[in-house]
Amino acid sequence: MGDIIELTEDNLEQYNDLIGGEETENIGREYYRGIVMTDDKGKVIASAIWEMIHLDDDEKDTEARLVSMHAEDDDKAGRILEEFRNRIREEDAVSCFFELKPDESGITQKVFEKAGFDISETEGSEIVVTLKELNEKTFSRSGKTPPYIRELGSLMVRPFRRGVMDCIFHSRRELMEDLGTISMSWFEQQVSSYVETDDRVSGFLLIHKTPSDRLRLEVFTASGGDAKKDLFSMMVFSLRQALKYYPEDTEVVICRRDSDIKNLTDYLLPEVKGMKVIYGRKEGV
Amino acid sequence: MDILNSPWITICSDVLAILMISALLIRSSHIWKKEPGYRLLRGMLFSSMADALCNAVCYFLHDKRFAGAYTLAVISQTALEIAIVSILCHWLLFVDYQLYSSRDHLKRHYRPYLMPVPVFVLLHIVNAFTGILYTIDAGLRCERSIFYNVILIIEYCYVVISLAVILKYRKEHGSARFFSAMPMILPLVAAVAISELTPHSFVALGFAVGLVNIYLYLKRSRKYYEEETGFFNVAYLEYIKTLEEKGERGRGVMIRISSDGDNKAVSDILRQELPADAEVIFMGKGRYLMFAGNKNRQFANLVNVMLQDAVEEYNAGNPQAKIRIKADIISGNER
Repeated sequence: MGDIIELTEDNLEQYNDLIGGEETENIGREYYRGIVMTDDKGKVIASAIWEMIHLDDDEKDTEARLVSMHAEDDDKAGRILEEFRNRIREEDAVSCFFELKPDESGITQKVFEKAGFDISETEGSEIVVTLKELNEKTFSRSGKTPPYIRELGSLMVRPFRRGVMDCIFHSRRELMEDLGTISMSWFEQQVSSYVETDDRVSGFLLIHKTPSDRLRLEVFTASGGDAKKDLFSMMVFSLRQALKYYPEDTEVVICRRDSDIKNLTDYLLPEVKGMKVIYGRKEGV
Repeated sequence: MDILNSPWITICSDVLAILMISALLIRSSHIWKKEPGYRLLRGMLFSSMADALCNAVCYFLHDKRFAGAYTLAVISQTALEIAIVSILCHWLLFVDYQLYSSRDHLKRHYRPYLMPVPVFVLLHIVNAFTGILYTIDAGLRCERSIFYNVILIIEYCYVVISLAVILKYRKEHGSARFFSAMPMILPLVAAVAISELTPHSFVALGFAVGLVNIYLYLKRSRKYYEEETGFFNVAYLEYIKTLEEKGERGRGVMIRISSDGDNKAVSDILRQELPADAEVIFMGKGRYLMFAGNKNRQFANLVNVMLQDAVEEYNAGNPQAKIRIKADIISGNER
């Protein structure tokens, strides 16, 4: 039907416009993978991008999270899905899952059901709010933020790496898979913030600016005796920074991947709901 | 003399408190003398001395009249109340610093901790002229008003807050830090209760006993520290194994760090690069073990990269040094 080509940083540029979506910017990150299927003329007829989870964790099963999939029709979707499963099997993944917006992928649910996925329609884990909406919340009117909350741009690389190591070490939640290796420049320098305690970084609120100029919350964690207070202060600081540098209608994407973030967003933004998505999971790829 | 009502009971307890705190100060290592904890302990000592002096004046010179009034009684009682407030504040700050070992944590809590103090001091000074909190009658008895009892409850909140700090620390760090909260809490509670229910004051003594218990806790934990590097020693590894066998602690991942070169330089690098409260055991001959809980190989790789960068920087600045460090992950069975 078509050639399967692995996406890499070297060839990404030639397929970027043809694939669409924001997920291609993740190609090149340690645990992200991508493939495209092209026709005889080199036109992209299907694509899939996924993230490997717990790949370097001997205690947990490796999983794959399908981040995006596009195809011109169900036949091509089936082919690319099969290739996706082959590739994650090679990396010893024992299960895979996805959340896909039904209108964007061009694929019907039948493709996934035929491949053995358990499918359901549900509320997506991501919510999107604007800076204006966040600014209308009570927390944004808190007093002056403490001087030990600073913008990421004021931090050098080595202390950043130490702070990342401290956060990974202390965090009871799962953070970004590649937080330990990702470059500091991946994060928006003026809106992201950190807490300094005893000359060490003890917390981060890290934001990534996507190609479509959205602000995506990637890391939100703090350790130490005043962790909750520090988290709140970072939230206020980063919001104020964002309002300083970005227009009010800038969208902020928050992925509610764990219960702590979900509880926080339910409390602060009870009226905001995730989009309707198709959730699929398959045990045993 | 009626022994139970003798002023010597209070004075003896104050003297004992002063001796206990002085002993803690004298036995402090020269390194600890530079720490905020030492200065707070010293403040506790001066407050206890003031408390003792005021108690002595109250008891023995209270009937001396100056300018037609029991001025000395009023001044000494006022100073005594302020000394007690000072003891309470120093205790709370000391507990905070000793448990969290964080200057910034202490600095960030200074203002909320100390904010009520000027109010208390002012109220007691105003009381000396107006008697709004208590009065000293012709029989030289102290008659307390309801406002005094309210102020007293607020002052003793310092004890409650310190108990909350101790219990919160205990909850966070559990039994792996040799911590028993009761020997620190009970003396304070007992001292405050006895001081309120009897004519005697055991406040200073109660806090001194609490301080001694904190000192003993720190001393007990010191036997697990290796002097040369400042990290835990092999005895700590055995202690952890005991806790794991009892089920009080889960078996987790460990990172083995091997090094060549000056031990002090290596341990300085480790202290700088590893998380501040990481449990690191010095096994001898340049080998270290770090408890990494439920972390994974990726974390161990990160540790390795950080250490390599630090070693490279150190060796560049110290060409004679030639330090080498390597970190890799091992499972609990490989210890």
